[in-house]
Amino acid sequence: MRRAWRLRSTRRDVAETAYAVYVAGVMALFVVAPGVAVVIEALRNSAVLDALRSPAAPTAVTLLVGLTWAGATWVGAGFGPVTIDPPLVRLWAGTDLPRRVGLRRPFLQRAAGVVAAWLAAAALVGGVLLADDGDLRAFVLVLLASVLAGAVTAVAWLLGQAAPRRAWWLGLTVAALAVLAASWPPARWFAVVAPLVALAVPLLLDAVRGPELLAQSVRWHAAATTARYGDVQSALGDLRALPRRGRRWRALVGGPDVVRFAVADLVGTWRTTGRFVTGAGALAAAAAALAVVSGAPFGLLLGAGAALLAYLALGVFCDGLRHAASIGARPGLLGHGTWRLFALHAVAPTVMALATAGLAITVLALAGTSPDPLPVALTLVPVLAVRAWGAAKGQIPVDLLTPVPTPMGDLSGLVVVSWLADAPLVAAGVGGGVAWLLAVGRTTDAVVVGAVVVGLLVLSLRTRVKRL
Amino acid sequence: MTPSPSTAPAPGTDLAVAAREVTVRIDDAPLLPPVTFDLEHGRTLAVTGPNGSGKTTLLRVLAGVQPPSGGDVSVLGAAPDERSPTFRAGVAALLDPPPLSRSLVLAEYLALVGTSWGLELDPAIDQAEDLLAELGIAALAHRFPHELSSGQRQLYGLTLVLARPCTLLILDEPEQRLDPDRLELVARALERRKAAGTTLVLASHSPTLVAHLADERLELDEASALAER
Repeated sequence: MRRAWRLRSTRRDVAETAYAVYVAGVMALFVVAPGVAVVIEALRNSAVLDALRSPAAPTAVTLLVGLTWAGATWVGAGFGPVTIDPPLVRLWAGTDLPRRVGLRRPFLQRAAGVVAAWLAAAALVGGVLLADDGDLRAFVLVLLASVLAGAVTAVAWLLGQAAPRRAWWLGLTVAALAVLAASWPPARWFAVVAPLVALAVPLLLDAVRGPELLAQSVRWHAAATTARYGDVQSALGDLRALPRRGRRWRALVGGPDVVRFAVADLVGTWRTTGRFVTGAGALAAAAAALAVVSGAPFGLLLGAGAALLAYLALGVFCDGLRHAASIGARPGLLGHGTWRLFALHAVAPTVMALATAGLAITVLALAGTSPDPLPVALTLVPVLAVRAWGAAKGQIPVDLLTPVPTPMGDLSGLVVVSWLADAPLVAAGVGGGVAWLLAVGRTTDAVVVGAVVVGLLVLSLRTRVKRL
Repeated sequence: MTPSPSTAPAPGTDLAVAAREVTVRIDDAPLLPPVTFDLEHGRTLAVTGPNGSGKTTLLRVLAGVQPPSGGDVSVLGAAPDERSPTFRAGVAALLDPPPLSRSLVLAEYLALVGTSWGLELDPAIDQAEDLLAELGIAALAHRFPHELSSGQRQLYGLTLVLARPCTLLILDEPEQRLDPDRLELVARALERRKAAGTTLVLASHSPTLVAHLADERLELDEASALAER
């Protein structure tokens, strides 16, 4: 079967493989390595080094890794690591070949990617320590631990795919175990767990159900196709978790439309509870980072990163805005105009932003720090506007998909990427800009920038809504 | 209804729909050959014809989502334009599968549609239950949209368009993916709207629906569309 598939597939020949290796090598040598060196040098300061060497660091690492494993389990329920082309899934799932054999290779490929991501993060952190004290043994130990942690992450991801209905509880169990084991040294923890879970891989591959595998593959495939052609809203829609619980919860309440739409949106999102909790947690983390951005080192980067995180997290609560955009494109169903629908559906993400920011600031204040609500407000309000603006974006104009021939090849991909990334770039730009202006004491300018950005986004949103 | 351009009255407010030589072209490709007809309030027009003859395009023109390339058309006394709130209040159309809320169950979204048109919550919930029962899908009230079959989706789309008040109801092939029993339910539901005074325009390949509902019939000819090319 593999031989037949190989004959049908468009594999690289030797020359193409050699060229790919050459390009990757050149990129690694002249782009990635200098970039990593710059980042390591930038991170090599007393604040970062003290944090990495503090007595609490091993506990924090264990908790972070454990929560990542829990998260991987939850993610696996919606889109797991084994996602091959739908026709191939039908082929494999219908044969008498054991799934541990048929699905092994796609799983190992995805697992290798996960391990590589962990390794890269560990190399960065370990590189900072190595550059400071030259302890090569500690550096190697960090790398080995990251490989083990990455392997367990991949298996946790597969666990979610193999048992999607129980993924929520399994993830919670993993998180609870991580909390209980937080006092153990991380490397020992991972060394004990990794061999045990590796043994479970064949069993988990056998447990993956055919319909689930096919549904996830179709979802990924559709998303990849739509993302390739610029329709990211549809692509993300394909990947978003679908509700299965809470069908009897009361989502509609009486009273004014504002309250009814906000409650319906929030209860609707709560029906995908894992997604709700993840979004709220990420939003609170972003608000907490923004609240301390003024006094933090690399305030501009932290502000931009926090704004980006807030942008991604708010997306969880913006299903209503996306629905308003789809209604606007096909009017006449709901009695409200598209602009009013946007306003009504903007209430739920606004409530969540206020609630999580309030919670984050309160917790920081109780912890003895002095959180500053100004950067939180000056970033979250524009990011909310960016979300509404992005929801009304519509599909990519066909003109942007036409080839852009240059001596360096077709650059139409850059045009598409810049069209796709405008909203997150604006969000990150506002976050970074506000943080920088506040850091240099230009508070009035920061307020003006925030207000101008919101004003421009609202004006542009009105234009987009009219074009839907 | 008589497709006779020379004798038909000019478009006016006494008619629900008046069309004179309405045509749609994109570049040089004709999507709808010139069509002329009148439809009085409370009557039902069945638009029939083979695939590609322009039925859906005509319905899109009447629903105000496709501007005509030529001719004159009046719907409820005004040029059709979905951007006009007054037009939207009078005209309900089901041309494509409607956008659904992925996180609300069927009854909830149906009630939300009702409240958006001015109903209080409790009457909107009652109306939602009645509509689901009318089309034989009351048992699906607490399902999410992604849990429906294609036929159930079609029926739910019809309940959504029936949940809102309207003077003119436009439906594109409401019989799609329905078995004969469900088709009978749909026909009876539309007959009730017709009896209540709603003007109805539907494109259909179903002899059952056309026989049940049509007062007037407009046969679009694929040959006419091709001859225009």
